[in-house]
Amino acid sequence: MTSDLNTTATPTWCPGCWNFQILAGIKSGLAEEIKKGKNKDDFAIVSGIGCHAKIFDYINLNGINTLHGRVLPTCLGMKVGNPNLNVIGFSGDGDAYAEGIEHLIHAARFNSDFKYFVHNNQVFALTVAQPTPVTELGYKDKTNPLGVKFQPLNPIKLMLASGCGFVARVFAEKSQIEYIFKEAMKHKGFAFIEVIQPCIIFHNDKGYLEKTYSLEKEEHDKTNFDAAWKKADEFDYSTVKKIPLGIFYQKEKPILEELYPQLAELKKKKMSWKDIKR
Amino acid sequence: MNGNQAVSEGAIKSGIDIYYFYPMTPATNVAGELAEKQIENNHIVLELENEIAVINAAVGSAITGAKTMIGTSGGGFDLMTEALSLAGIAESPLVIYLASRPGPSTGLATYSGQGDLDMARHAGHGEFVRMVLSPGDAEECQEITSQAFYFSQKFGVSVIILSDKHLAECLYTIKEKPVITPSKKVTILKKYNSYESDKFGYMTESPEIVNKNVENRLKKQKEIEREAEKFSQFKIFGKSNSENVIVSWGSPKGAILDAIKDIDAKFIQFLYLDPFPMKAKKEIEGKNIILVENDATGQLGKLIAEKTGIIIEDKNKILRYDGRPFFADELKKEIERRLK
Repeated sequence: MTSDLNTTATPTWCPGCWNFQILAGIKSGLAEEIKKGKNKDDFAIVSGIGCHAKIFDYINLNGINTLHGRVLPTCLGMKVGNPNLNVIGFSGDGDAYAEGIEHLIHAARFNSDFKYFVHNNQVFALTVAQPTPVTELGYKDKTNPLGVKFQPLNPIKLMLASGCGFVARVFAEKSQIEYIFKEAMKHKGFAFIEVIQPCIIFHNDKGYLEKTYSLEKEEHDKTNFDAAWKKADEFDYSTVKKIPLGIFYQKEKPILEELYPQLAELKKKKMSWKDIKR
Repeated sequence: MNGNQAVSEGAIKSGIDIYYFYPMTPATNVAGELAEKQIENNHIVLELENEIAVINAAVGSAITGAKTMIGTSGGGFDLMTEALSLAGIAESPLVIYLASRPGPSTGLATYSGQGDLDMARHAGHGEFVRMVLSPGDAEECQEITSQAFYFSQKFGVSVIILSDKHLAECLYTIKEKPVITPSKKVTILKKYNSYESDKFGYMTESPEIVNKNVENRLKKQKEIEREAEKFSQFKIFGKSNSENVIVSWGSPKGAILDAIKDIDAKFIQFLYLDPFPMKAKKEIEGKNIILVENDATGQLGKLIAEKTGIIIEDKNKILRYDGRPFFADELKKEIERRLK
């Protein structure tokens, strides 16, 4: 089934890059949705600029490979343009947490019904090794020989504080991507999914995987905001003791597409603005 | 009806689906006008977090096939320019209402000026085709807005409707029913790219494909120029055989028409600034050309020089840059001093 989603583009990710696992998990999740009755054209993908963005070439779906940092408003625009599209956005950590961070806060607030995957490799990999806002203290590269001086941002806490209704983190393993893709698709509203994806060239954190554990297995109550906040504090992106994975917090609230009667009508009639003749 | 109301009216008559904005004087009232009518007319108006979100959301909506428009003033437009360049490479249709006020920076936030013509013509990195149209009264605001939708849909380009505070907020009487140019929605959702891409939308660095893409995109300039011949790209008023030719664009139109009522002068009003109507050249060549503009550097004068080689003498430039519009009586005196 995933073969329909294949393209002829040759992947240019480094051999062994975790992005291959993300790609495989997304394609498998999409294939599952298509098997359940959705069409390929019911989906659209959006990517930013960075290593993650190459995923746009490797999935045979419509959409746009847009500017650095602007994945979120583009996704929102596509949902407003056609509320019946299933829109999936992909960003890197530079894209999501540096260049376009203002959009992240507002995407949580608008709660448009699209899904957002942040490939967090904690480094600007495509521009070869500069630190991002989630790179650990002390990290050095050619442009920062004195080491990173600032505490990394905690995107999970940022999303919780912004009122996001689906806050999750997974590791870049195919099975985890498949699981969270399915959960995110079931969720009505904006879903924020951070994918820990260590860059095997510039930020090779081989120790990460064994520090991770499943929130679900630990019977974390994902409807409990305070519990989610505490879990979010366990990993500060700088010192690695334990890394909780899974859904931190989930709460459905009204989506943008239902709050405006014009869009609700399009949704009801399974139409887009393109179909409106005036 | 003021210019902003007329632009809104034009957008509705053109079948607008979506309007995004971030408040900025003097463009904000278009959002207000359209928002008031959104349920009745079944379109949607959304305020987003900043102008960067506004234009990127607009590109997102446009590629799904929706007729999309955005509005701002100079400072907000500055923030939009990276995505203007994106719309250029992705060839997504977009209508941008740019209502100017004097800059640089915050300048004179609630006054009027025409200092953004250079910016509208050149904003955005790389080489791509856009259009810059400029109405001079409320009737033209409606007509030009409909033409902006027409060209943006037909050619997959950004069309900038260049207005200013004076035009946006002055009340006009509509004398004749505006001619609305209907436009079809032709854009379909496919793979779009900010990178150079092949025919399927996949990224490419092939020199052959890149050359072809660049040439195909720029070819539109000629096609647009040809199509624009069907429209009133410039208008001629006053004494058609006069040796004195006043050139201007946008909101000074009203004051100029009043000023030249009983003097020996012809007035050429430019409505199309990009593409530049080359046919206007023969109307001004060899004449005593007087430039009237609400800016300090005579930006239309520079455009005319660039396109036609005709240099307007500095002493013949009537420029006002104190944020106030021209008044007919003062302008008349200024023009009379320069008549031959």
